[in-house]
Amino acid sequence: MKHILRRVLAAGRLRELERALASSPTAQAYGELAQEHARRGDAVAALEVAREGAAAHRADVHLNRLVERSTALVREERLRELARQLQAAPRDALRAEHCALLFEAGRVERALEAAIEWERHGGGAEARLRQAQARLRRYAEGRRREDAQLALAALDSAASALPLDPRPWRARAELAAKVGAWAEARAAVGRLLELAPGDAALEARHRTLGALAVGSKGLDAALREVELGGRFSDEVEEPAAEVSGSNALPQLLARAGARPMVRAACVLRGATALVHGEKGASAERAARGLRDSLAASRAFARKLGLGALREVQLDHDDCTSAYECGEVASAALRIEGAPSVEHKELLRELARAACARQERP
Amino acid sequence: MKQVVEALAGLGGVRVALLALKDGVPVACAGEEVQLAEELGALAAALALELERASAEQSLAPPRRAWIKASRGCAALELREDWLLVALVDAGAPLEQLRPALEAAASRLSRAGRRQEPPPALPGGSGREAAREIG
Repeated sequence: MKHILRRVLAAGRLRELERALASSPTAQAYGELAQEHARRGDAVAALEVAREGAAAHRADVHLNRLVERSTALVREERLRELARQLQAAPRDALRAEHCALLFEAGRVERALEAAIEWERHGGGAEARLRQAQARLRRYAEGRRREDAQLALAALDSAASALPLDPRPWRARAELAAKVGAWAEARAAVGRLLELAPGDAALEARHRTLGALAVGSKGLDAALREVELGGRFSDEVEEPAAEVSGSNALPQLLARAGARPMVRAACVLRGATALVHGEKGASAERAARGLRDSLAASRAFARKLGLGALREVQLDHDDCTSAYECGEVASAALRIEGAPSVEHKELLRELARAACARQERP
Repeated sequence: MKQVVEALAGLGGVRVALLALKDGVPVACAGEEVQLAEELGALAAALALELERASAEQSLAPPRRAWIKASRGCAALELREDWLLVALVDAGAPLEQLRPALEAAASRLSRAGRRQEPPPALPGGSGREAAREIG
């Protein structure tokens, strides 16, 4: 009885919100209606309303976030449904959709596992292409040569099975250009031109790569160089201008420490720690605590195969410690209560500044 | 306990959910990677110990919840005096649902734990002694 009453009340509320939206189509009205749909568990309706609202109010951050969240919810629902269907009656189309959705959701490891499983069940060239796609994404994140080599092997195998398909060659050209193996990239674009003769964009690209290819390094050497240096050919070193002054980081740290709710701010780079909000022995203890917490979290993530540590948040009884980890430095804030969006942005800014090169101009 | 862990493992993107004792011994585990239970329990217990030690050094109370986000996934831990609740989540999976679910699971486990506690101390004796007498 109570359940029925609740449903009737919710339906009434939905009608009320729809009427409010019809009379005044503001961003807030769209947002409220989308949220009500989401509360009732109708992610598809929530997405439709949020999309309509975002199209009408393009600059509204809240509506754009609602679109993202509703899309993720719809995707998760479909993934659950697909998992059930794959258990009951697996077939190629379902497996392809499953891989694509996992990849779209950024769950690269799962997408790779799904593609391997698909190949094991006769997925053939399509499954190998999906594997290559996932491995290439993994390579872009971790820059390990092994990932790129496995991706290339999968692409070769897919290309020989699908001789008229441009996708393996396109992926190969992109990878080669990314790592600066221009001759290899030119050869791959050449194959694409064989498949699509006269394509103006491909011809222009072929000419550009031809100029770059003279004396360029081989693919294997380029992969090794990226693995060692950690930078792709199109990535330039981060400019040091923003924080190149010797006082820029301490100033930023002091500004962070002065924000409301922030009890202490800390930056760690190598063996150096800068602490704001604590003095003397307390500052030393804070720096040591931060270093130990990060080391423990990093070891935990590494041993579980979760990859490079990005963020850590520790909720204590009366405060929260939030950490942001960059490649060479980390930043931490101790905040009263839960961290807000502003706090997180501040933390990211601190970590970026700490990671930037500290050379004098 | 099994139901609580299974409900957590049923959320989108959760690879495995584990309830373990403070020393890492698994109590209940659910999800697609249950074979990870022992390893995950041991690693989570070691992490909890390190985090407690680091917090004590900074004169902070031990953390009750920890979120470890990395490039290929995320781990969410509820840390209590006697037990640990851990969820391993895929990278890119929505975490909005996980936070309230984890909190709800932790409160259910805490309530269940309280119900199983020994009766209060009798005058002149500890609770444990009272429990032994009654037992």
